[in-house]
Amino acid sequence: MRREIPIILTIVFLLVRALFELIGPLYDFQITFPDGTKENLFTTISNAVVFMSVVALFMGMWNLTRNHVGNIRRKRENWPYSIWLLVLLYGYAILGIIEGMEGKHFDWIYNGVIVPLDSTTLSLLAFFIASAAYRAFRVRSLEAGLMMVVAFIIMMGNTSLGNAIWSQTSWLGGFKGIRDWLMNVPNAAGFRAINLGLFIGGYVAAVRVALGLERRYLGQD
Amino acid sequence: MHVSTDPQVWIMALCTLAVYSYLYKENPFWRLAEYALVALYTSYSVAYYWHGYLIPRIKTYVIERHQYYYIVFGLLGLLYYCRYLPGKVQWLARYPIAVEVGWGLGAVIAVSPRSPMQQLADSMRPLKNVNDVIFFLLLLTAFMYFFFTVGKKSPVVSVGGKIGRLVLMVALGTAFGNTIQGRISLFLQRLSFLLADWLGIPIG
Repeated sequence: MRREIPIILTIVFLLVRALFELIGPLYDFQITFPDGTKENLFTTISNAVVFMSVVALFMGMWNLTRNHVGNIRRKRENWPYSIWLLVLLYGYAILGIIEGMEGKHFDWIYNGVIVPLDSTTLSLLAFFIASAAYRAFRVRSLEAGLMMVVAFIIMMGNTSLGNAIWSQTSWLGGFKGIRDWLMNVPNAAGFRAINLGLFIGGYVAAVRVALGLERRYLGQD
Repeated sequence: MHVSTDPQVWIMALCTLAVYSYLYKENPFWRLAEYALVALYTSYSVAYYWHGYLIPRIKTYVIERHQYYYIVFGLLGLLYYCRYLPGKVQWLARYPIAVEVGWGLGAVIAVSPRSPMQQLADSMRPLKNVNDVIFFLLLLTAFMYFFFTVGKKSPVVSVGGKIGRLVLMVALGTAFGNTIQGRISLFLQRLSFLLADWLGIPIG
């Protein structure tokens, strides 16, 4: 009951989806609703599964609330920030649900706070990547050096500064010419091997779940 | 130089500075920005799925089309929350997880081989020029790096694997270069916002 039915559910839904994907006419099979509208059976089931997942939309809020209420109760380090987080969490969610996505205040906060915080946090990585590159250079191995030289050529090939230093019209096509060759030959070969390796690993894991051999996704008893 | 008088621009600038203050060291402004980002993004996704998926689907399928099996899927979705309830009912969360995993893996098993097979077929292209030959040899060596079962017992695989490692480093180097550039362009955007939009200093 606790494990068997979920495993059976997984296998049934897996087979149904696989059949829909593999058999063309089944994919195009349409059903008619009482109001006369038609829809693909596949789309209807797919929408229902997405609907089921969307019902869990409050899981993130619930999880954050549990953690941060715990922080406040036990007065853990930085607990006042947890109050700040909970106020924003519930305030903005209620505003969004009442006003809608196009709401004036909701949109103002999105553009005024979320967008700059998000893009600035991502841009912080420019500094940390620079320090990582410095550390990689200090390792002084052939592999690290090669990686850094390639990264440098790629950046030079992408910018007008690179073209000014070593022009596209000169020997070997300049930084841009070497960048193109690196992207099309060794980069394509390397990533193709990585992608095929990832595919084989992922596919084997999927088949193990399909055969009921892999059950860790159901958690522990 | 005309400093902006728009309150939204000021809030944006203060948010930007609060995040960059982390470059000096951890401080209360950074913490406020960090907690705000986590809270607001979570709330934004709640509002997005509420208005974009949940309510429209209830209206369309349950109210207009009388597809009451949606209620069954909705109840299944509610079982996700059992994960946070006391121990005895936590296992009920496995039902929606099983449905979702099964539906997703069905696509993986049926569809996912297409792209790798196309890539594999493309790799077996006719060797018309030097680049085709180099590509093929580099691909073989990169594969050899992943031959863990044959490993160092075979000298061909051993040497090939060493060359393959260099090929992988070149591939990672290109990804690294492109990533650095993406992040730097984001940083320049923020810098141009601070200088031009906020402080009104003309640039470029």
